[in-house]
Amino acid sequence: MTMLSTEGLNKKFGGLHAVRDVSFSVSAGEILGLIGPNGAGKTTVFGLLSGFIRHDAGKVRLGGEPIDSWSPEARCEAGLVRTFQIVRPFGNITVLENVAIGAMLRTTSRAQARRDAAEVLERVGLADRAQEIARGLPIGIRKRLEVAKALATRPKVMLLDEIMGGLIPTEVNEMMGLLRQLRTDGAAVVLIEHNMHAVMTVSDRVVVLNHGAKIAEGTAEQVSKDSAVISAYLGEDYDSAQDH
Amino acid sequence: MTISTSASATAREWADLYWIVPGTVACLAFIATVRDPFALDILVTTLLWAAAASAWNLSGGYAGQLSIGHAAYFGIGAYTSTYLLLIYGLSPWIGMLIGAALAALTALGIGALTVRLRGSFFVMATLAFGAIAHIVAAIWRSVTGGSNGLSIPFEPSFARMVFADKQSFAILALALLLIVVGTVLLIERSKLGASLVAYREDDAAARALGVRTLRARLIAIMISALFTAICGTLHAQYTLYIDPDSVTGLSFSLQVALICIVGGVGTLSGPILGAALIIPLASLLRGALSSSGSGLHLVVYAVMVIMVLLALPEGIGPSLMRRVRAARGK
Repeated sequence: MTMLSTEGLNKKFGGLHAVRDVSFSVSAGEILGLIGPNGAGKTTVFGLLSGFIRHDAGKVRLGGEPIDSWSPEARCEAGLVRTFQIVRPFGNITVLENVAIGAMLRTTSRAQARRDAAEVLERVGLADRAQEIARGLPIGIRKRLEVAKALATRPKVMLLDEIMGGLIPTEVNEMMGLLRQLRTDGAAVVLIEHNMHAVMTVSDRVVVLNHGAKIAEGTAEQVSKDSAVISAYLGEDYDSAQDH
Repeated sequence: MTISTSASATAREWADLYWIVPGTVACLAFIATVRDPFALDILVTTLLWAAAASAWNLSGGYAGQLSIGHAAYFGIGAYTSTYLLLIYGLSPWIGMLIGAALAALTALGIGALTVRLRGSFFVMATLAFGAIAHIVAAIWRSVTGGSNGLSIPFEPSFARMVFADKQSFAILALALLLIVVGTVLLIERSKLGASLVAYREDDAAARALGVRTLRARLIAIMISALFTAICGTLHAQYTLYIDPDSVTGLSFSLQVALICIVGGVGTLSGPILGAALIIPLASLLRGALSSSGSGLHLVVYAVMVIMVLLALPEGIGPSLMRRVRAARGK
């Protein structure tokens, strides 16, 4: 079942055509990798999907319903949540209270929100950090906190922006285990990731962006052999050298 | 590893009662035993300022929307009830509620106009609204009496909210403070409180988690304005005279903010600690030093406030709590 889809998404910032006719969809229980070189427009696409940036043209649907005019808050309430590449913890409160703010979306009781938050922290392996103030935590912990906050809103679709950046290999493995668990639970996940090994291993399907446009889509194996993708990442020369 | 969220959290929920209950008892004991009018005057003034600062703290502290225009709401409260009393003979108890409603509506309008402003831009906008209120109070003579001000006749009666003794007024001010603190306590524990803190920390991150920060901010500023206006009515009924400088002046707006900053911004006890230090200090200095040269008490007052802020930069409450925790940890 398609959870989130875009059609002909376009965004211009002045003279820069940041996102150009991008269409894709992600289904329940599917992990979609969104990759591309730096500046390809991946994070801008997340901004458009989550409602923080308004697109110039195109359609975004959540569970079949057009959500183009919805605010970020309304999208989150409907089950579409994002994380930020540059993590944004609520700095002066504890890790538990950070996650409880996400959990407040589904309950009016602060005590219930704290209990839900504690459960989420167990899931992402942050239980022992619960009472620490979020500001000043190491980056690996803050990345996981970012995911925990998003999870606490009980999303149907998760847009995860570079959640493995700065993680050590064992942490990457844990995060991939968590992603697989989310897939089993029926969530749809869109993953922006620079850790190629991780994104190629865990994604069911991969969409490749370059200069704001979609240049390839398919399984990890398919796109990694695609000549447009190879030249986007490594340059035309490398691609033509491979042919000889 | 399990996270304790029940027992310790419940203990924390009630922790504030450990100072609210003794503080209330101490005030009542003071009111029952002390007969010195100067001391009682300091108590009434302190309680009123504590209530006004607690109201300011809701939007200025918890939501981090630093306002230096709250005199507008204070003035609306003071002028509305006083005008209705003087012209229509309406009881200030009712006039107080009408003023509170007007202030809340004004706050909604101002909040809607300043939605997109953050940081120093928001502060500047509130400064402008405070200045407008002062100008309106000065030139709208038919309602405010202009710079001549309005005098409330001294005819003690409960319905007119005028009391012959200071004790009655002290109890009224204490009751108001308890209502404001109780409201802030409930909000702090509620979804609204969590939303305000999330907004203060990071608006975009909060909205990404579905927090309706705009709604939360507007509700907070309305409640804040409502209680500030009620403080305005009580101030008018206590001093029996109001003019543009006393109820819409910039000094009120700066003073409520200063009390919170000294006591601890965004904490329940902060405004009360701040008022308990600053207001008696200002009164005692004025009494002790006014004969030794005009303005000297203000200089000493300023120096002492600066010293407190240097010693306890997060405010009295949070800074002391940190030291107690650090001492326990060792």
